[in-house]
Amino acid sequence: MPRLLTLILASTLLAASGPAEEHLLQGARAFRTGRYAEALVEFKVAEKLGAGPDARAYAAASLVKLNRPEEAVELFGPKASADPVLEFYRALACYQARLFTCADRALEAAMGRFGPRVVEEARTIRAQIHQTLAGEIQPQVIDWYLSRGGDAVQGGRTGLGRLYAEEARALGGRRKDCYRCAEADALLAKAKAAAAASEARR
Amino acid sequence: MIAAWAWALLWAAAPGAKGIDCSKVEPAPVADKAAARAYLEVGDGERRQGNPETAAVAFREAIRLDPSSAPARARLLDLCRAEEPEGDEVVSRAARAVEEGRYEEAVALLGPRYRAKGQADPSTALLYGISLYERGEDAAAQEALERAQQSEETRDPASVFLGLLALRSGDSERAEAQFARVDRGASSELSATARELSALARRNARLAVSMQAEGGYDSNVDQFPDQAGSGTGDFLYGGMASALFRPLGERGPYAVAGARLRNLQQFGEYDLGWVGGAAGYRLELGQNQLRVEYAYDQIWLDFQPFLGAHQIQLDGRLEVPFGRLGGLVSARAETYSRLEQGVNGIGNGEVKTEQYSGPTFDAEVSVGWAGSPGELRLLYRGELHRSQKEELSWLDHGPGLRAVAAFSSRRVLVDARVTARTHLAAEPGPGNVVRQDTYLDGAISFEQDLVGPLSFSLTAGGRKAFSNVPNFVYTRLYGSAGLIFTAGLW
Repeated sequence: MPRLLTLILASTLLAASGPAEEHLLQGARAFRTGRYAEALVEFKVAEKLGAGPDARAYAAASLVKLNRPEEAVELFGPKASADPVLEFYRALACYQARLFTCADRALEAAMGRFGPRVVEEARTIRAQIHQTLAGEIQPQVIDWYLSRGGDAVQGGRTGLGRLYAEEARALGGRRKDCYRCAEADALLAKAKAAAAASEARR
Repeated sequence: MIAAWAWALLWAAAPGAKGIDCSKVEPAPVADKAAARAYLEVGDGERRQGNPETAAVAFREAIRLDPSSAPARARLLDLCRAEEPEGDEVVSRAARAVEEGRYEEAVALLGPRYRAKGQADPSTALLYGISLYERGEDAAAQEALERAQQSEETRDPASVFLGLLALRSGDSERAEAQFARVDRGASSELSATARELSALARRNARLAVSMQAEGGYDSNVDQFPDQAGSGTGDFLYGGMASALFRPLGERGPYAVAGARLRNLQQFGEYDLGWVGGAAGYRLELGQNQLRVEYAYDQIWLDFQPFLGAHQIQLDGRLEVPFGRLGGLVSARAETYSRLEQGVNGIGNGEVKTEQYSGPTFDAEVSVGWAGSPGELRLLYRGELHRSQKEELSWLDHGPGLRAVAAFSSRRVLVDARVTARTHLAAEPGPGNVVRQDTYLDGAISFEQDLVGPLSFSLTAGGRKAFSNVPNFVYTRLYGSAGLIFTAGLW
């Protein structure tokens, strides 16, 4: 997987020049050799120097490797990536953050675009997710997601709060009593509103 | 071995390793202040999110690209300082270095920290003191260990090493007092070690005397050939006295002198008397040591002069990553004597030198491994003896093994070797054969401390000699038991 990322990066950057691209390339080299903290720093610097949204996604992939999934899902954002490898990393971030429906949706949507090795890994992860969600979802599980989402929104991490709210809503909807679905919807709305307000302030 | 449990003691309390690199940052060939600012911002972000390791990566890069960036330097310094009190990465690394015998590295790591703090933390002081002790820097080690001794948590191991320092300087009383401090309140393992060392301290004095009385049996006193029937066995008894003087302790000059008498019950012509003395100098640097020694031995058989020998010897040991290398060279001038017999077997007083007198040269190389109970050493030794007659000159060589195990109040020593000897010319006579012998030697000694200065010893051993001359094929077994008195006088 790291080699794939590097190849993608290299192909897009070989012809490029400029300080931001140089940092992207350095980040890719660090990522390939397993120096994920350095990769993260380089991608973030590249982003600051104007490398565009790709740098942010690569930084998020580094966060996945650094086992910082919540930050990774925030950085990836809610939208699917056009790049199947990055989309796989986004799914991994969701999975590590226990955002199972988020991970499953991402993998399902991108499955046709994955290479053979990634497809195998994606299938394994999806099987594990389906096994986890096979039984009835317990109320305390949904409570945990709502609590986590509420804290995130409260702390200004609206993107993360929104994802937890969506997860709580999806899991609640799997129950006949749609446990705390209304609260999940309310939290989702609150997170969206906070994100819009934050966007407006920029 | 003692360093190993001191390390374990510290390691148990040491925190996990952290990933902040606080080493010197080498500037980039070309400065880039804009990029440095971006790194600084990224570092700040990472730090705010509670990721100091990643933040340090960013700050280091900011410093590399802009060495004049005071904010980046200050932030990195903060991260490194913040890590110190809880993380103690330096102590952890130094503890690892001590465990693996890299004492120089441990001293380099701990030295600045020890000196920078008016009151260094006990772990630093203890590890620093141990490392200095192992490097042979006794004065500095003493200071650090005394500091470590002031703290409850490091008092016991510090006392052990202070005792070892005293032992090295020949002050057995002070050593014993230090070991006794441990004895009172330490863990059972530490306490047992202190007791062993305390017993050792009682024997290790600047001036020590030893006396031994022994009795035993030798199955083949005169190396009677196997083909001629059973050997000439006999009971033996005797005694030995010796004195050791080391004015500066284990290091520096020393002198030893002794005398031994061993009589056989029936074969008086093999009664042995020995008087000898040696003086030398022992140089130590950490675990490495070099010793030069002159020795003189005089032996009588049946109370008549038999051998006088002057010897010069140089030997040393060197610690290497895979063990302990040893080497020895010596040269000995041997003069064998014979008292001329007059009429009716009464000596006429004239002492003649035997033709097999001459110089003997020895060389030995060895590799040893020391562990908690003792040491195992594999060696290869060669010896060349020249005399006036070539057929009485020989060259021998062969491998050997020496193992020493020391337990609480007992010691076991095993010695085994194979020697192939070739004489340098044929002996005149039937067959005109150049004699070639092979010896298999083995011995085991056991020593048990009894009350006070007394200990008991048991020794058993044997030799099987093979030769292309049947008269020199023989078997010899021996065993003895002894009572030893050892006392330190100063």
